[in-house]
Amino acid sequence: MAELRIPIIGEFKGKKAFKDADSSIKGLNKSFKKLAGAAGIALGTAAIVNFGKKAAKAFIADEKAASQLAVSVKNLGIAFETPRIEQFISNLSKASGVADDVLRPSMQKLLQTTGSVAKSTELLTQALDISRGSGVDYETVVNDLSMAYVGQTRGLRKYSLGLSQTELKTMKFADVQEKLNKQFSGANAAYLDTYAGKMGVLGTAAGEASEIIGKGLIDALMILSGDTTVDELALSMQTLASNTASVITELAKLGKAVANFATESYNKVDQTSNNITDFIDRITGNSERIAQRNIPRMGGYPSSALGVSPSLIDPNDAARKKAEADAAKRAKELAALQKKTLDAQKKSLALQKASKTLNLEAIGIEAALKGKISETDRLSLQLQKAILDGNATLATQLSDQLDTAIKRNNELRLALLATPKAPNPFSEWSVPKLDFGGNMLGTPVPNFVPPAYAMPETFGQQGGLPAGVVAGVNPTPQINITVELDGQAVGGAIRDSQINDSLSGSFSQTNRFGNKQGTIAI
Amino acid sequence: MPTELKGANELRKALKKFSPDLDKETREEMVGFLKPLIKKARGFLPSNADAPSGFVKHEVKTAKFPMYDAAEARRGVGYKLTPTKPNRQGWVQTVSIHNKTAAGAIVETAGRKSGVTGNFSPRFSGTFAGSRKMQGRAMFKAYDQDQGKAKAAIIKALEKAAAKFNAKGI
Repeated sequence: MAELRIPIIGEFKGKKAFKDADSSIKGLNKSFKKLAGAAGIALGTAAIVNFGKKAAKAFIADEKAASQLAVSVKNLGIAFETPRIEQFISNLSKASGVADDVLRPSMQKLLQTTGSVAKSTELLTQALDISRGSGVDYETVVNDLSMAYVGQTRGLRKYSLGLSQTELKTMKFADVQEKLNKQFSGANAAYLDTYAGKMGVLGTAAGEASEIIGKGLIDALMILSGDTTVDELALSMQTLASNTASVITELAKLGKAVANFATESYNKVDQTSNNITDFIDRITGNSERIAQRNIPRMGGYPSSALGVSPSLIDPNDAARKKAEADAAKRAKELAALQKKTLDAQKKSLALQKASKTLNLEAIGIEAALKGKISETDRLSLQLQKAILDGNATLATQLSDQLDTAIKRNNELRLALLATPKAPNPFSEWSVPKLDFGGNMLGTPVPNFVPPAYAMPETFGQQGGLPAGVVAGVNPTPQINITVELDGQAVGGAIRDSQINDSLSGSFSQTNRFGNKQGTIAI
Repeated sequence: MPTELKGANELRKALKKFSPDLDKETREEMVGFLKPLIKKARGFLPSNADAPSGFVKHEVKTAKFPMYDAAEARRGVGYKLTPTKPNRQGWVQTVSIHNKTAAGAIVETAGRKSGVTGNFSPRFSGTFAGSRKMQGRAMFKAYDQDQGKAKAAIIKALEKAAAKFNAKGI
């Protein structure tokens, strides 16, 4: 039964039929779109605009991440390394199929932890293998590695390295790295061989392409619209949707033509220029420049390690070396700190172990076990000892034994209670009714006088009964005792007692004057 | 029939979001008008002793017909200040009072359609008040006796809240 309700205030929200009609229209709209797609009707303008927007957004996000990394690198004092890092991330992204959006924050984290570009790039590459090999996502791996670098190895448990927690704690980072390397090395290469890996690389490339197109679009559209900011451009994009689509198409055509022309021309000019320079160098004998030209071009300057002319050494080389040295120093400090912590832990463990030997409870149990005790008590004590030692197996075993013993005790008690009362062995005996004189027992003896116990005269009045006193006839004899005390002896005894009391801190209540007259008052 | 107050739900939502104090104040004001109504309606529900003995809650193994428990039925009478889901006609109830329990509803309406005849409905002591679908022994009776005062007060409270909210210029 529906509940009874009185509506006090209500509002008409429209009938359900309206909603039905609305949903039907929506459904019809969807169907129409599908039909249009199947029939090849061009709905492309909106799609192109959407793609343009997405590409622009991707580019903006990418630029933001790059800017964050650049700031971070700058704050670490190695701003000159930014192009090298960017180049590395770009190459790694292309090779591994991991998007640069993921690599940048990871690189930033590692740089902040290690302070070394070389170490960070090494860890970033290793993280790829670990991630592919373990199935843990890349960012988590990087996070775990950066934590492990500063001695927090807790996160490494998930990689199942076959190491106990204690081993993980005590291992150096280099050892951990080696172990990880041994376990997961080559996992990324194997993954890239798979279809999924190849698709991943393609996906990343598509993403990068989208970002590049986004950048191009933003630049082109800003020129076209005359907008100065991206926000203004985003607003303009909506209104210029249809025009933009055609502009892009035309731009693409023009771009392709220009690019083809430019590449061909550049290649020709570059080749000609190189040939001319080479020719001149060979004529003039400038071997240094010839050698320089033949070095593979990795960056703006060749590395000083290649031993080329000092004039061509990268001016940032010194700063780079300093940064690396600082990072190495920091790593050493970290290792020393870790060792110190471990030593402290070891000492603490040793102390704990030593304190176990002074475990009073355990000592008490041991002492009690040496005494003569019942079986139940012995088992109880042994069980308590096992619990103290944390020996679960023995504790269970003893607990069972104790239960059995208690049960047996109870059974014995019940059996004793159930035992019938023992019969009196003398119950059959007859007590004689006559005494040895042939009289009935309890018959008074006529004219019986108990014998008198007289004391010899030598005792006098000092003890025993006086002569002539008959026991039982005169039961309250008068005894007079005179005690003579040697006042000096008693006084000496009291003095000693007082001295003892004073020395022990007790208050003496003796009347000292009484001693002079030979009497004592206490 | 409910009185339609257009935008009441939106107003409550806006109050809750932008002016919680005013929302609380309005709510308390409305509750102040509804509570006496509810109290009165609960008072019209019979005690267990006054209800038909077979209808009062008792131990049975299979009970299909609802059983009456005065305390439970009284608890079932209450008010609601949040909008309900739209009914089939498209109406949303912003403020309402209800008699939720099945036994309470039976006491409320027994004999309303077929007349107070037979062995069951004549055993209820209360008389009907109100008309047609708004006729009943407890909640409907209390609402009928109120003569729309609570409704007017609630509308006024909402209008006042709307005016205050608009004056704030949020």
